[in-house]
Amino acid sequence: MKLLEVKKLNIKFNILDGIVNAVNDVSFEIKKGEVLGVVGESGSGKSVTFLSLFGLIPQPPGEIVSGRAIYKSENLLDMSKKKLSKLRADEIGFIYQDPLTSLNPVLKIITQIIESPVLNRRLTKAQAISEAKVLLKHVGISDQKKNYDSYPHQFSGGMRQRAMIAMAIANKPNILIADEPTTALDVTIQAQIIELVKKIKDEIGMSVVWISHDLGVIAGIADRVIVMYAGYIVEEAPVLELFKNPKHPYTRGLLNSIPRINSDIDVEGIDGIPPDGLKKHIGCPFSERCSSVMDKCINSLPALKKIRNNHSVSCFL
Amino acid sequence: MDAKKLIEIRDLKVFYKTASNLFFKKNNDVRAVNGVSLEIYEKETLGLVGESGCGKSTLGRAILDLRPIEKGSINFDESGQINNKKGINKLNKKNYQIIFQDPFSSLNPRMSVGDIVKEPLDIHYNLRTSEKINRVKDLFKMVGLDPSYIYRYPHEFSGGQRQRIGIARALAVSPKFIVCDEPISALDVSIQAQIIKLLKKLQLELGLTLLFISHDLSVVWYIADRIAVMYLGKILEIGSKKEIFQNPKHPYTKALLSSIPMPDPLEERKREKIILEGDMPNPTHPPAGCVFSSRCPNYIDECSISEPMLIPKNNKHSVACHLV
Repeated sequence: MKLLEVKKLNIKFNILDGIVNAVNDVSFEIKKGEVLGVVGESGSGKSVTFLSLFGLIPQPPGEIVSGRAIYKSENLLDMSKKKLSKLRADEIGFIYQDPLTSLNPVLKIITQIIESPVLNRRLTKAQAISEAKVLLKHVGISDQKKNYDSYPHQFSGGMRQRAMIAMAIANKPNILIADEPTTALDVTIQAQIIELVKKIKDEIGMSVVWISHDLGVIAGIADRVIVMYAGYIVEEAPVLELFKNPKHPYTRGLLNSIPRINSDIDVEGIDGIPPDGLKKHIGCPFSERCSSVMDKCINSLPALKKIRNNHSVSCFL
Repeated sequence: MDAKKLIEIRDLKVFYKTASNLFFKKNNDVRAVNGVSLEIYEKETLGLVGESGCGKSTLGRAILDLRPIEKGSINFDESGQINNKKGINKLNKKNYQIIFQDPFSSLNPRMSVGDIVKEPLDIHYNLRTSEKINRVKDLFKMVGLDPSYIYRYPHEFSGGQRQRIGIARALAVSPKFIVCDEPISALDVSIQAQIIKLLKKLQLELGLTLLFISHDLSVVWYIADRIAVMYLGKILEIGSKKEIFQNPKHPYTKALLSSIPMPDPLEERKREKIILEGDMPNPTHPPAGCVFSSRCPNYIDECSISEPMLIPKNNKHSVACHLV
């Protein structure tokens, strides 16, 4: 069942140096209960795409040029600020990369968790606090050492991310947007957080959008994967298919950039540097770095085409 | 392995002092490196892995005399010795260089990149300007940058290119040994691959010895010959790359290896993961006995009573654990 359908989304940023076309003709859907993995390097537009849908990019400098995002038969991009804010509170949860800068340093963790339930569900403070305590326990923060009375700086990185998750799921969202939630964490803590999100996802039955640059993490958590480059979706496939049968040269390059443990396969990497957002592409955005580039690639843009069931690629090859 | 020892570290301790209370003298030093002994052999790459705060960067800096040491000693082949007594620190720094993690803050924004790479030559060599510039241009070619870039400034370069400049700077004085302190963790995946390939190539061509500090085990697998696993200021396990990855003995190493996300969905879902509970303890008050005892899944009483020593299990592999 489609929960959210995005069609031809275009976003640009007007900055002093010119125009950055951050998201270009991006279309995708999120199904109920699935984990959608979004992979791309810095500047590929993966965060902007999802933040913009829920009114979370500053406008200006950002500008949603065109597109539709249908959620429960309403277009999110036409929604009033007030309605969007209510929707974010009730149905969408967010967790971000850096839990220290996304938490308010002068408020107790628990005060920040109850903020939304008190405002949006009209719970009394006492009700909300007892609910928040249950939530914190659920995400693995016990009441030892007065944890429920702590400020963000008293928590470790992993605990802060757990608190963020508690906050995100306080209103049992339909969609959880996880924007590189484990990038700032150590691998053993990362493993804890991934397990926790999987567990909660199954309990609430929410959909998860997991944005990451780490293909290993995506391989473990996603059902379906979108690969983004320079603001374009270059490949989309179910997770098994994508890793077994990557078609786009960029996806292949990414997979060949990771050293494989216990194997002697050499890493290949991708030549060149990530694209400059200010530059306008006529042809394929990846053509400058692609090892199998043809004349056609420089002059015209390949469309995202379905090559088999659920597997789409934008490449002339 | 009959390789020559280049660096020998004995019972090294490096502490960070914290402000002490005027009335109650408490021992609150952060024990970043708390009794480390290891050898680094000529022309090898030793990978040093561990989570943030385990002391791996501090250890790397102490070796280069960039951090005062509390106890212990570091012996270099003919280039001198560092120990905690003042005045006899002698290190020929020309042979020992470092590449930093963040290529954005480790290059002076007011100097042209050519001058940045030239600076070590100014200090250590007495060369004519034209000779220096030729050397800088050669170095640029060596790290895969266009030599015509030498008059540009750091902000004109991407992260990967800046890291290449950092590498050129470290290579300028033809060192024997380079500490690579997380040199790729600030870079995108496709650029990471370029840089580790470059480092591996340079290491072979120039016969360098590298201490490669990283939290990314798959990168360490690619570049290192031997691996040391560090936790809370101690080395828990050290051995050849194959031994550590294919025959890990310490419970922490096992957990660390099982937590690496593998870019293979089938493998990743099939795999039994060891999920550790909790966080790394505060290094001002490490747990009694084994430093890993507070999180260890195989904990026995002895672990919090006595500290296990790093004992060789075979000639390529040493482990610090009571149960091994």
